[in-house]
Amino acid sequence: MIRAGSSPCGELGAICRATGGEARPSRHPMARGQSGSAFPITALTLVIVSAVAMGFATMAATEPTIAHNQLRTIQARALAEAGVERAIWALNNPDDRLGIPPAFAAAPAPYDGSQFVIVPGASAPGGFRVTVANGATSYERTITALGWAPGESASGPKAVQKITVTALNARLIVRDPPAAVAVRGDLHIGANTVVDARADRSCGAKVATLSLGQTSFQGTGQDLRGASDDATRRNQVTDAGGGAVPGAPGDAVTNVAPAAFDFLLTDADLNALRGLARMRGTYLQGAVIFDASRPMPDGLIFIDTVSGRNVTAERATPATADIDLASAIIGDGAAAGPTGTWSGWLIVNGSVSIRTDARLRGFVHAQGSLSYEGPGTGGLSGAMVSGGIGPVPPPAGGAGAASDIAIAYDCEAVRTGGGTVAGRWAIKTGSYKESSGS
Amino acid sequence: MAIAEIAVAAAVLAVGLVGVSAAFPSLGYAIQEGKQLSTATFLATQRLEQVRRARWEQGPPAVDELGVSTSRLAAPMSGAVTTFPDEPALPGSYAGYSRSVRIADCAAGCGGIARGDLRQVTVSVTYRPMTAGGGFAAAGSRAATITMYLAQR
Repeated sequence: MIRAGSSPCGELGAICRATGGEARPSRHPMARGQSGSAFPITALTLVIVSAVAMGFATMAATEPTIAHNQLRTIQARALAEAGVERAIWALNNPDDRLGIPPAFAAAPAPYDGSQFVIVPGASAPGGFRVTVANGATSYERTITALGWAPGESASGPKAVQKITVTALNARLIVRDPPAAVAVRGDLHIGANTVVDARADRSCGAKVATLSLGQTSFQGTGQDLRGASDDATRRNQVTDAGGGAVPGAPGDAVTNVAPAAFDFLLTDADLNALRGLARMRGTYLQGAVIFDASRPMPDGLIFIDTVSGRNVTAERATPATADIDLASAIIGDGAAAGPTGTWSGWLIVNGSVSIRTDARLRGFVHAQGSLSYEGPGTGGLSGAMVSGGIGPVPPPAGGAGAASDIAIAYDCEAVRTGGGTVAGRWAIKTGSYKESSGS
Repeated sequence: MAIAEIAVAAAVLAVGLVGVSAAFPSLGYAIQEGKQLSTATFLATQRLEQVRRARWEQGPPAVDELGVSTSRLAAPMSGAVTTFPDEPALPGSYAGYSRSVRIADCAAGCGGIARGDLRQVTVSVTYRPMTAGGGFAAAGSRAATITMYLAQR
């Protein structure tokens, strides 16, 4: 019984209360039972401490190993990248004895993976094996490099990293058009239009114009000149009758077979150009107007559909909606260079309308219609082509229209974008793949 | 518990703890070494990525943000600009680490290639290892080194 005002626990206080209120004398039988427990407690403590120490020791032994493995992996990756860079160097130096020729079935050693190339200067001597193969297109090469740190025949732990990239040469994307103006549709030549393909035969004799359909003349004063033509006559039109470009094509070839337009950019080409334009900040979408307030930057310009997808080929389904097509208008003041000349490649997933007297130098490619009305002294050195997909804007009444302009075929300007498109191999955006091991 | 019993237990415990604790500095040193090497590897990778991002293009226009080291002791320079200066003491939590970049012009030869449009980049991060007592070693240093080639674009 517990009465208020007095505690049966007395001086034992909390211990007593914790045991239910029973006060125990100091020499309780339980206390006497602790005799001999010191050594087991000590042993248990030592076991626990030893276990902790062993865990610590294991960690201590593992940490440096992990760190060295990490370093070797990083070194191996850098050596694999050295292999990729070496291959790119070789592609850019086809004339060097250690270079890779422009065309090959099997790359020469060491770019066939047959040799282990030691990279001097690495603290852990390492190196790489590299293989270069032809890619999916004529302007792509596949590079696979294996980096080893230390060397592949070294004893002890070693790291291997594999890198696969696609190298791309932008200048090889555009194929030489067979005409200064090529239209996959009907072509209308306006008054006083001059199209001349005679001056540049460096990539073969070209015709002035080429059309899938008819070529008509509106007004007077046209002067079409093909390179393989009788120089004393102009505007000689040859009907291909739905076949290939004939051997004696004259100045203008009409009714050629669709297969003759194999120089047009494919979806793969457009994808590659889109990536390049994105990388250099000249990728645009939808309706774009270039003029004095928004001049055209030199080099590659890619104007894409609103959706960012390539235009569906004609008669293929689902057709690209007209509202999705890109459109580019080039007005006065668009060529902002000091000489009033724009140089580059203009690639449009839609229509192009040129309405300026500025000088243009390079290559103009419209997947849709193309019209050029440039009064004055302007003109184009290079070539322009139309894929003829989508609606044709009035008043041209055809897939392509030209009037009052001067176009001169210039092979070098087409291939190099007037000297603005780099002709060196580089890693294609988004193609870098890395993996551990071989 | 008798006093003698407790005394013996305490003595055994003391001997055991001393034995275990004697190993702790060397274990700590090993862990610290791993940490330092991991940090050095990270710092070297970081610098190598900065070097890889630098433009080196034939052009036109020609661009050279990489530069070349005139000797094995010199930081790379492009024109009058030091492109990747030596970092003898990194700031903040990386105190104790130093970092350097050397870029060799392969015109002088890199694995059989003697052309100026290929360069060899070497990034080194050095640090003073810890002693068993927990301090920095008075002398000697360790390094994490990464090297690769870069081709002109």
